[in-house]
Amino acid sequence: MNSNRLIGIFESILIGAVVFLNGLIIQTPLPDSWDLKFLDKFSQAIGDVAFLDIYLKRNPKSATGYAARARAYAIDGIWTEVVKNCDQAIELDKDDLALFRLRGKALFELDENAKALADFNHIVDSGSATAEDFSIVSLIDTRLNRFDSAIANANKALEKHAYWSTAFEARALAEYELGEYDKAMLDAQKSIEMYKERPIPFVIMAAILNDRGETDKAISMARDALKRDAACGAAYWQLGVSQDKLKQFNDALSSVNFSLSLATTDEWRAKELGSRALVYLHLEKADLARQDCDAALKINPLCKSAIEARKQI
Amino acid sequence: MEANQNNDRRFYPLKLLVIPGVVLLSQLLFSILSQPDTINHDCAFILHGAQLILDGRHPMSGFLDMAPPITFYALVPFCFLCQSFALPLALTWNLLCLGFICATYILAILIVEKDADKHTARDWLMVGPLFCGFLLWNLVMSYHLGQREHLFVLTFFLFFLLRWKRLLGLEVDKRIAIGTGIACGFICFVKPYFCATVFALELYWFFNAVLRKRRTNYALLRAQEVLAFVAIGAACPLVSFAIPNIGEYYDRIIPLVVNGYQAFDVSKSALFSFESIHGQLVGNRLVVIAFVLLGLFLIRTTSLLAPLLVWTISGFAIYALQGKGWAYHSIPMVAGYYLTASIVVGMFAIYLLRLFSRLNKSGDYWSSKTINTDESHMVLSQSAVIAFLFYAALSIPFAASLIHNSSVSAKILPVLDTVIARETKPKDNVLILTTNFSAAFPVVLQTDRRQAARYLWCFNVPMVEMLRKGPDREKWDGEYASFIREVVADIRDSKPKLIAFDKWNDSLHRDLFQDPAVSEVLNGYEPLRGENGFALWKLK
Repeated sequence: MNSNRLIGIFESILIGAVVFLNGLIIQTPLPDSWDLKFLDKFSQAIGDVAFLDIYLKRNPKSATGYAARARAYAIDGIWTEVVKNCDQAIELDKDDLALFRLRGKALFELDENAKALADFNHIVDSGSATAEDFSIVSLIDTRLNRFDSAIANANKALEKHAYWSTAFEARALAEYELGEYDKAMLDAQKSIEMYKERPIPFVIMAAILNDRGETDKAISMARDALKRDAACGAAYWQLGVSQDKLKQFNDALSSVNFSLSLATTDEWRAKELGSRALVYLHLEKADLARQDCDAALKINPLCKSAIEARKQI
Repeated sequence: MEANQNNDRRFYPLKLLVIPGVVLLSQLLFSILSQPDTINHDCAFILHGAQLILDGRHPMSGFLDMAPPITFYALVPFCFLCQSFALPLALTWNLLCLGFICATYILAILIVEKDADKHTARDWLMVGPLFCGFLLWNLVMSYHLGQREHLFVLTFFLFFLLRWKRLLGLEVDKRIAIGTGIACGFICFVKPYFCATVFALELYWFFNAVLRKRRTNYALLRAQEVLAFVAIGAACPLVSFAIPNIGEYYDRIIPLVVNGYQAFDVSKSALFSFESIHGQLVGNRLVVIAFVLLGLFLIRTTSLLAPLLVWTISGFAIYALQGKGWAYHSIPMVAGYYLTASIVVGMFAIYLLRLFSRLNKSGDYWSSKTINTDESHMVLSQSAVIAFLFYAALSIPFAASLIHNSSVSAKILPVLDTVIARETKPKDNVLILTTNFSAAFPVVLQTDRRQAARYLWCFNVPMVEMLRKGPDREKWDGEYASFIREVVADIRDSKPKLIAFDKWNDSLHRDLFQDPAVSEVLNGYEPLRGENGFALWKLK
């Protein structure tokens, strides 16, 4: 082999190597501003997830990376992914309470209440719980039919922050379930005073007004809730209840169906199934009413609307 | 023997084009094969339109979109082949795009190869950096592979080289010129914004020819690529008229888009800071600006820099004119400045080599004089290799600062994947009514379901919503009412197994649920529950 050929081979290897290196580096996101501090400040959700997928492949022991990816998924409401990433981050860093809070919130959204409660209890036990934490614990208590505990936790939230809108909402919800309508009405109003854009306090008021037979006012409240969130399933539920009381059974069925298509938690789903059972009864569809009653009571044996429907079947 | 040597001499060392090609395209192939299900959302959407055509649903009668209907027809043969041979659509599409890149690269080599000895030394030495820059740019496009902007840059790169060679008074292959003109013209018809870059460069070539008294070189009517571009631009609208119900596109969709496309606009600050939530391609803004300014500073050193800067600026104009801030809109601009940066780094490499050769008092092969064909082939070839290696080494620190890898900045989040897999089976109709494009695509394509709604995504809703607030309210109220009627008809006629209504768009949701016809048609459906921002219904 002559020297020219050897030089040629050496050159070719050098060209290949340096180009390969260029290719490798251009595909690498780590230089420039793509660092985790940057992500903390300006989260871009989708871009962050894509970046972090690769970052975490290279740094599988980075708790900060998993936490950042969990936060990025949370922005888009992909809660199952939030939980997965928080699990991995917590495994690597058990002291970061923010991770428990984020996972608790994600589990709360996914309706996995016992697990969510465990995470928030961990925060409460550490003495770092905020008004929002106690408020969420109160809402979870209500989902689990622990109404007294729900009120107690809402009160703790209000001790932390006297004007915390979610705390008033949580307490109103528990009071409504306990049949303390005057207190619930007052708390729902206070929640709205603190923050006008929350739809659920309007739904609570609509529910109370429906129970009191003030159907027109209830409809108005449900519509107020829908103005704030057109996809508020609970508001459609109360609209359906009002329409049922006004004997507009087909409209009521549509409204309750809308609410069921939007329900993300069993708490509301049970209530809505119970109400649909009542509508089916009025439409003389006893079989369907029975099915809904059974489904609602399976989810929540204390579901008021399902119990009422069961009595009528 | 002598003839062979002459042949060799006039060509830029082939290994400087082949080795980077093999290495970088292999890296791209690895990237494609390592994520076989990944496909760009826009490509998935257009491929799905082609699938629907194969199923017997035609654009404007079976489904509606802003993209010219011919776009969907163009992909029908590809989908037909995939269906016939049971090929995975996403992977095959990505491999086809890789094939496009390879073909473009080979054709580009064939374009510059001819008459290479008539280039100035600096233009000649810049072939390697330019081509390497082109390959590196393709490597970071991995998420946007096959996106219309990506295909435009592929065809326009060839168009650019052809026009550049013609301006220098050099011959080009007629067949390559015609093929390039047709391809580039077709892409520009599909997305007319791209014409801005083609016209801007054409103006540049014209003024350059006039100012440098090379008017004879600028023979527009003898340039086959231009004639083919114009011919295909004229032919596409004519062919479009053969598409059934094409009137609907020109009478209904075009006026809507012309009046309402600004509904998707973002604020100027978001637009110019390149901070789209869908990832971004533009790297460190300061580094980018620095390279463009350096390009401006070195503009006289090579005939490639000025047109590349015009390309970059016109690419920026395309991005700014669209006003949406979406990452892929910046693809032509990013290609322009990345190629500019490659040349700048290449020029810097040559500057260093000149400095080095002066210090060593060795021969100067880096000047801008015309290549002396009497120089030994070995020396010229070695000069090119050394210049290329210097360029490649110098560009390493800047590679990732100039551009963000698209697969590292863009991702499709799993929104409806689980529920579609759980509640339906392949080929089933699903109706996804959303203004969130990427919630529906690519999942519909990946899971082999069919979008039952004629609105493959609700592109019209944000536009009509905006226009309803304007002076022509009655007209657009009517348009919105038609939309709701069409949704009802789609549910009634195609009986989708699953319906998913986007919860995020308030008015869409409100208007749908307040319409008695919607309530009626949903009687055949059982509400499932809310999931990842969608209200879900299943056929009873």
